[in-house]
Amino acid sequence: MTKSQLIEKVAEHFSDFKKREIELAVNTIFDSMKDALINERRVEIRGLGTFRIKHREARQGRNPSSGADVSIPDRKVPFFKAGRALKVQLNVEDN
Amino acid sequence: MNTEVNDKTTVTKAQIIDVVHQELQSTNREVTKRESAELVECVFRTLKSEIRSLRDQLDNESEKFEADASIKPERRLKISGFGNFIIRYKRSRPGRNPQNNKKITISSRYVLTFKPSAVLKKAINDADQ
Repeated sequence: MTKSQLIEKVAEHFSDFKKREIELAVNTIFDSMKDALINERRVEIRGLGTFRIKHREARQGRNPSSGADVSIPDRKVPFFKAGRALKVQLNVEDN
Repeated sequence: MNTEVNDKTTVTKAQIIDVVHQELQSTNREVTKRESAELVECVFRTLKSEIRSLRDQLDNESEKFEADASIKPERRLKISGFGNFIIRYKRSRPGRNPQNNKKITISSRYVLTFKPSAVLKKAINDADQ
C-alpha cells in the first residue's frame, strides 16, 4: 500500500469530503508528525506505537569499497516502536 | 538552536487533530472539529488494518518461507515523504536463555518496523543548521 491508496481508502468512508480535502488531511497528519520529530518531540499514537528521536554519536567510519577513512558526524535518527497491542495482534492466529 | 527543541512533551492524536482541523479551514467548506477527529481516527485505523492484512498476506505464504531460506519475507506500506512501515516474518530459530544458558527455540513471529525516508531524515538533521 502507498499513501495514495491510503487516501483512497479513507475517502470511501467520507463521501461528503472532496478527494483533495482527504489528501490535505492525510498529508497534514504525516507533516505534523514530522514537525514534532524535527523538534525532538515524541509522537505517541495509541494503538499503533511511538516515534522518537535517537541520537547517534559522531564516529570514524570507513568507506568499505575504497578503504578510505571518513568521519561520520553526530546525527539524529527517527525511531519507531510498535505498540504492545499491535505487536500482539500481529501474532495471533486469527485476526 | 531554537527554543522549541527544549519542549520535549509528547505529541498525541489530540494535537494532530487540532492541526488537521486548522488546515482544513483553508478549504471552502466549514469542517467541524468532530469531522477532523473522525478523519484522523480513520487514517490510523486504516493504517492498522492494512498492516494486519499485509501480515495475513505473509501468513498465507509462510510455508514457502520455511521451505526457502533465501526468501526475505516482508511487506511494505509506503508513506512518501515520511517512511516505510515494514511487516516482517521471522522464522523460528534456536536461542538461549541468557540467565541460565538453557537452549530454547524462539518461535516464528511477525514484527513491525519503520524505515524513515531520506526526506524525513534530512528534515530532522537540517533543523539545527
